[in-house]
Amino acid sequence: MKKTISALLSLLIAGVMAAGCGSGDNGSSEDGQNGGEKKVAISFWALNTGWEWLEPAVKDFENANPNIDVELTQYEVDPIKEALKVAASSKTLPDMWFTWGGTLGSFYPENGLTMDLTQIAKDHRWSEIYNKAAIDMSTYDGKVSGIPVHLNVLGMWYSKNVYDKLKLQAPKTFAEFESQLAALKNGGVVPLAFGSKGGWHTMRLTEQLIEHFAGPELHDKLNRLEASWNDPAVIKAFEKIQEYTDKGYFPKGYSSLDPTEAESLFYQEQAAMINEGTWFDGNIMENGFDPNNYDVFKFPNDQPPSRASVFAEMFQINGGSSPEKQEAAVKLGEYLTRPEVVNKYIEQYGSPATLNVNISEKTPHLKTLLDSAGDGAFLITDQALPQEVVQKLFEAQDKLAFHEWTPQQAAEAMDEAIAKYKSK
Amino acid sequence: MEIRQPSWPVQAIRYGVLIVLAVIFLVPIVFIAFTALKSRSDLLTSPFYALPEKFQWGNFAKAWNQGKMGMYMKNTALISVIKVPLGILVEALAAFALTRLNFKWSNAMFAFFLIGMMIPMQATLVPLNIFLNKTHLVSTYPGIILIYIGFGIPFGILILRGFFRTIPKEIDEAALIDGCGDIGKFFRVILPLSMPAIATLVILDFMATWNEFLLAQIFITKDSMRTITTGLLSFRGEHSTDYTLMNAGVLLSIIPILVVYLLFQKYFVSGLTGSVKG
Amino acid sequence: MTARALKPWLFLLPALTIYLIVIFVPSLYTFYLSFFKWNGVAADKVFVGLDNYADLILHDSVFARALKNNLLWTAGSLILMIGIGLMLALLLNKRIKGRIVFRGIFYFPYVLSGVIVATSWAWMYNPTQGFVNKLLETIGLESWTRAWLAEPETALYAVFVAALWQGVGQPMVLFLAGLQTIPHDPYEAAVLDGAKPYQSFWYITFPLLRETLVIVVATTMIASMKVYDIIYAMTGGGPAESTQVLSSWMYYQTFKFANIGTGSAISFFLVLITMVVIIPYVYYTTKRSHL
Repeated sequence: MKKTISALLSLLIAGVMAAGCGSGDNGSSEDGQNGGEKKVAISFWALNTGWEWLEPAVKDFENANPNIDVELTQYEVDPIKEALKVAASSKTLPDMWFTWGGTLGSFYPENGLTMDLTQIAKDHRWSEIYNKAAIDMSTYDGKVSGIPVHLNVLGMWYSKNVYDKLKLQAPKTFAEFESQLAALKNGGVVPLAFGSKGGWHTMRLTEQLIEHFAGPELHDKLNRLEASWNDPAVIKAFEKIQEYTDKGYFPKGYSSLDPTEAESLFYQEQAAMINEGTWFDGNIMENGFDPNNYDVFKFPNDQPPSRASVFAEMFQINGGSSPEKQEAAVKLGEYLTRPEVVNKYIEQYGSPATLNVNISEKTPHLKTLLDSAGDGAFLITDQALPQEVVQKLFEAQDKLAFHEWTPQQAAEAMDEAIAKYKSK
Repeated sequence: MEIRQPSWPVQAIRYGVLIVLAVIFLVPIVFIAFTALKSRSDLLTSPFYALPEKFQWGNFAKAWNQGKMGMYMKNTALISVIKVPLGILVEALAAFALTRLNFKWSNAMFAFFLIGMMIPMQATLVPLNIFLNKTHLVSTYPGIILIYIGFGIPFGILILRGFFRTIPKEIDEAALIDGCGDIGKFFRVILPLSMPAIATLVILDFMATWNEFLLAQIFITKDSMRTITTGLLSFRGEHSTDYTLMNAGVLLSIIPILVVYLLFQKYFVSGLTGSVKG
Repeated sequence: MTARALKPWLFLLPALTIYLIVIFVPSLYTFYLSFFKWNGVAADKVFVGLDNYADLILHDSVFARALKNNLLWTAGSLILMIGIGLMLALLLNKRIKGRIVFRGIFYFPYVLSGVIVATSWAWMYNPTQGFVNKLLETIGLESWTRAWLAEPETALYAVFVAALWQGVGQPMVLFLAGLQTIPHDPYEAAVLDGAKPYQSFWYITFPLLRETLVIVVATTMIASMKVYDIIYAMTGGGPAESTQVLSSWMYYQTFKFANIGTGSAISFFLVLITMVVIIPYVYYTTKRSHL
């Protein structure tokens, strides 16, 4: 017994000593200058998986800019949102961070936490470098607040095998789309491989149904909370969700299915279509399948112009960082979105917001999708609506599926949630 | 514990229940192992319970390298090896005060500590981050260890106080006669007699520290200092997740927990009972 | 203060200091925030008194559902988690061949990270390709198959089974340790007196396990009120918010909606109702103890 105790104690002492020497700084608030030469250290938070190119690209940058040190920390999706919110509240935000656009990214500029990049955008001719839509989506209140990195466009991906088997072709009209749903169902295939845990897959359909029934103008107003959701167009869209569920157009139990499980049905050709975006060539490849066996069409919403759902991802820069750090961060952000760098890593890069880049042959549908947004685009719902309202929409989608709510009730619930949000 | 040899039907029922339960418990574990041994395309085109088409033993090496598991495990080990004994010492001292020193506020203080268990960690993140930042402890091991010890205190005190209370007071008196002061009593009598409790706490605390995620993710912002859970989650991405490598990584990552478990579980049988008699 | 009165405080000092810094003061701050409307960043916090609490109780249907789910979860854990944990510990405290292996098997799920447990069980529950439904079909119970996680009636219970599988190792380990503190002598006396095994369990083991039981009940209850990870990972609170619990709803309010005041109010509501049950429970069981 004595031996154990003494072992425990010596561990303890060793521990205290080790703890005493393990110090470091977080690199975000102190500046990393040492002595005469001016060295700038900047901290940068970004996502991890799907962003493997970031680490080598940052290394390239450091080699090209020996006076800048980058402390890169990568997170997964929910943790980066948490870490950023906590850091914002305790004023420890890094010098640059990744964020989605819309209501997910607006929190920081709206609360005066980001650097205003408007002048830099003008001076550096961003309009010639980046896709205009991506710059627009990084602009809040007239101020450019982020360096656009990704512009994602959504489309309906389908399995060519399944379509060939049933002698179908990508639909051109909404009516044709609906008749294909029925044909697929009759052919023993689940038409829509949706896994709506988290709400997104259904939401990407709901928003196109609203676009179809309401038209672009009303849809935009709905998203800006300027029109009542208790509107015949919204109710019709909700009716469709219910109808498709009842007809078995979605996989069994889709409302709690993980997107990966839905993807699995898609690869097994048990389900025909999946509502994904510009990143999906990458998914197909990573999962060990051939993107050439799949194709993608723009949702036929019958509207002139037929708009696609899009969202942007950007790097925001800390408005409170020192000017040297801000300058270094801008340099890094612009470097990472430069055509040469994008081209170097294009296969893993995803869907760049940068113009004039060479799309890889390994991602054959990227260009089609990007082009499909050329006629017009609307911001994806979960970034267009305030997060509380998004959550209510997810609840409504599920309750429609279970017939807990009628489409009318769901529309009313949306209005209620919006009223509650506005009264905050 | 057994005094007489039980009759064979009793023993048969015992084995029967245990074996049935063990099978139920093992089934998901086997599937997790299958997943760790599949290729991604195999995983997505076969049912979860299916045997791997081809065993991908390379997944373990891949997970180890891609997940930078060596570095993260070393970091986690360093934190755990300091946190667990230090935390238990702090908790044991407090539990000793609450049970052995005729402390007037004993129950009130115990209740006060207990409240700490009820507070959701997420509710403390912002003030803690401000504190760490002000004291320059963000992304330092002392900082994260301090916080881990803090969150471990209520549970540790609850356990140790409970076990200390089962140690008969007569033993204290014997120690007093032997000329032990309170410090001596704590180290020479109470701690050795509490080995089963301490072993239990080591097992549970080590595991909790090893698998902790939320605090590590928020308070360690330097990749080179991060812990193993962060490394494992790096297989989960914005648009897709590599579950095969993630499962392989998890299976590798829990080896140290199992080793600690095996090392300390023997105190369950050779602990207090022996000491009381001896 | 005399040296004698000071001594307990000296022993308590390290724990108390750390506890105050890490848990107590931050919690007070959160408590304070629960009386404000605040987004976490804005310079001005708007004092709203008890409005956040009132809104939750009167106007938030998800909160009501979450509270109900927490209570169900707690009841389930108290009965099943503790019951199975105790049964395993009693069985494994006997002379059983391979008991180290058995203990290892039952403890194993507890060491797995939550994400893996959640995804693995979600896949087992997969409506068309999952093990659970396949098993039911194989044994002729096809009519029992369903989309376990996707139906509001079963989703919470399905997650609970996964949590049970994962969590039963903890009470088992605690009970096993508790059983070690029971000396042999009373059993020997009982055998001499001709007691039946269930009698010696009821009159000897059970009372002597009381300290352990208090610990297990208290930790299980508190953990059930705070449960979050596995539910969030398996269902995200859905379908239709049917599996939200207080902690997950607090997470949504705080981190997704930036309603820091509401999130803090949920935290404190949670602390309050847990406290009201746990503290008297621990007090009462403590008072009765003769030791």
